[in-house]
Amino acid sequence: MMKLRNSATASPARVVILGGSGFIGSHLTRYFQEGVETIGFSGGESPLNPVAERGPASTRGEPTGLVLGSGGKGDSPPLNLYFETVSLSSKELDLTAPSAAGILAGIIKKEDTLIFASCLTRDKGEDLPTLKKNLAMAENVGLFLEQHGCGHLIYLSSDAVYKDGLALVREDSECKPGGLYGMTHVMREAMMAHSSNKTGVPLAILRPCGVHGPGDTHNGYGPNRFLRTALAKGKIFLFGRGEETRDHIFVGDICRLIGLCAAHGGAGTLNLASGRAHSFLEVAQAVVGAVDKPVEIEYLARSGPITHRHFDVTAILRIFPQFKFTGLEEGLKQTLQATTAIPVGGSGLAQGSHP
Amino acid sequence: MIGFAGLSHLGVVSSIAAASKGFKVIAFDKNREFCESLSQGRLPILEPNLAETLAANQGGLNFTPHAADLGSCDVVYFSLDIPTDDVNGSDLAPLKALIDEVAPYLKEGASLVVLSQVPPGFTRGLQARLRERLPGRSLKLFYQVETLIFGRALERALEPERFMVGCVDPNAALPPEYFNFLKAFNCPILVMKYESAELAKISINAFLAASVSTTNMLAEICEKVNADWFEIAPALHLDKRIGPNAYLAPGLGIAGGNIERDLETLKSLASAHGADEGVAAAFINHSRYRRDWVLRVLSDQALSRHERPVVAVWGLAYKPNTKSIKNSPSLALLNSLEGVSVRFYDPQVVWQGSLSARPSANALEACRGAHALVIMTPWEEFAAIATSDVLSSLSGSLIIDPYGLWSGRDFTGTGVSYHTLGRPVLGGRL
Repeated sequence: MMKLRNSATASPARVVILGGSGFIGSHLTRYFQEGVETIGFSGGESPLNPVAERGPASTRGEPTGLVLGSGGKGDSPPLNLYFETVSLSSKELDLTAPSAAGILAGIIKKEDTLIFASCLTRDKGEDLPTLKKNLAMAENVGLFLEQHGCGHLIYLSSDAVYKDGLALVREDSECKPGGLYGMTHVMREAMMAHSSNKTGVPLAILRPCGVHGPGDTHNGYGPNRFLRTALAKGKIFLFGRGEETRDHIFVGDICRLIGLCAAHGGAGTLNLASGRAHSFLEVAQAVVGAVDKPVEIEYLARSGPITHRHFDVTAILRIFPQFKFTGLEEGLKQTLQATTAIPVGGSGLAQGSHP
Repeated sequence: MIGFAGLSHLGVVSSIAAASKGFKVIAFDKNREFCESLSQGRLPILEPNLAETLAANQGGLNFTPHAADLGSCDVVYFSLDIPTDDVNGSDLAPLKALIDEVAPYLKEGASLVVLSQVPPGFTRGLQARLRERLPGRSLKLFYQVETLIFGRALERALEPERFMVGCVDPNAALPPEYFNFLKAFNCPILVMKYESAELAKISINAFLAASVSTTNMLAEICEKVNADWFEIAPALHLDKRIGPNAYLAPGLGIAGGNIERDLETLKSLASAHGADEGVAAAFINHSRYRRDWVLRVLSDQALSRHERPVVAVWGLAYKPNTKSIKNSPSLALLNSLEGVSVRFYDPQVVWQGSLSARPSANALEACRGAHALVIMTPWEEFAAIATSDVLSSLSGSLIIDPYGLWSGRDFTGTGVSYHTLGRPVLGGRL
């Protein structure tokens, strides 16, 4: 479970993002640069919420509370945290190279929050060479940490660490992945925890479920692939009748949760999921409803048994009770808007580029 | 003469129950002021009819701060409730200290009865400890299972279903004074080995946990598939294998501390002896999951929908007719709502609140301007409050009533969105 080290939001000195040009990494980079939505603690003192800035409600002694996005102060302007952000892509820094730890030492300062979002995902190959490269990245990050340290480490893991077939996933659910990609994250989590324990650097392990949104490069079975084929071919291909249920979280929510974790100094493990599972048929129907052209759903033979995966997001609610998740339809709408703005083949719904 | 050492909830209730059966009772607690307070009829706990029973039997009760006074007793109960820590582990040190303090004063041949909640092996270990510390004394040591239920403690103490007594030799007769005392309660007396009696106590709670957990799991399914648990439960009560008194009321997990402690003890025993702990662990996990049901509903229906939500919470006690807040779902909820504006009210529990959770003078005051009302303890007082009074105070229309205190009310046309355990959501916004 995650615990927050700062009850009031406190801006870290700087955020360094590894994997900054990947699907999530690029969104994170933009998000941190544009200003992180915060929870303003309007009932108490914090560096971000001094008495002088309190709005009318607080000064009248009326009920006040945590407010997402607005800073929690009535008519006062939105409270966003602006992080100095350093974002590194794999082209700028090859984390698999033996020299990577030394290069990181020249970039990362003691007070920085380091977000380790770099990983070769399934679409880059679920094989031993890919596993080896992913572990090499973690080894170098771990070596850097043990030699130099930083203020806070956020490791972006995956729900692939969990045992297949779990109907309701919680942070303490069994981690027994069915493939090498899940095992990659299990091992990298252990490596980060080892270095964290050794150095005392607070570690947050975040495990996102399926993420959708503009710029997804992975083409996994789900919202983005459905959107892509709907736009390109006017078709969505479903296995069976699309009965399986899965949780799909919008990439914007991932950024907001990571932002809150950074701002509050979150330490521990947290699943990043919306808490609402949809069947693939529901997702397909939502895509059909969102796309402004005729789309046919085509049903393909199913190769495996029907499995469902739901997430219990109580752990998120316990630390951020006012967090509002973006609904599936709204997420699709935002993805479509971004796709319209950026032609297919650009970074909108493109696939295949290395993160 | 019957003695009681250790006047926590268990000791206070048990000593008063013993006096009401016509026995002369000496009840010891080293806190002089506390004894004086009890002698004047002022009770530290809330239990139905307890104050009246105490008043009616004051003549037979001697509350004393002097351990030596127990020296005249034929039977002395050690009735200190065992405190538990944040992870429901037992702390037996206060009980051991109490026994060490009192035992030297007990008369030869007296029966020393441990009534506190102890794990298997404790009493046999105590027997060895007493022999070592008090060589040559002829104290007779027993363990007696308590089955106290908060809110029904006196009723249960006066009319027990049975007594379960652990002793060194189950084939030997109980000492006459002890047997005569137990006989006064007119129920079966089951004598067994120390370890069996100690585990019997845990067994009862394990079965209760099974009923509670099964009920809660089924209630959640009901909420999701448009079934009504309250239509199903009566049918189960008529099944002889389940029974009319089975725990079939859905709740927010397991609370109160006692069952949780015994589940933890079972896990520890299983771990220590290489037995499978999976069932006990599942009960504990499911309890934590259901405890947060209100938080999930509240977050989805109110906290994420209002920029500055205000929540009214009725009830802090873990159940009605008690002041106990041990493992209270209400407190767990309030801890999760740090920073959210909460106004709470409880008829009995006094809690100073936190930075964002503030006490209210009464139930309706707590509702004023709130977006949601959450009834966390189904106190009778809340059942008497009119829906219209609440709705005119609330600024929203969300009512979360896990225990179904208001489930019989008609919310038609009110716009109320009513959420309760075991049933689908009623109504919605107009």
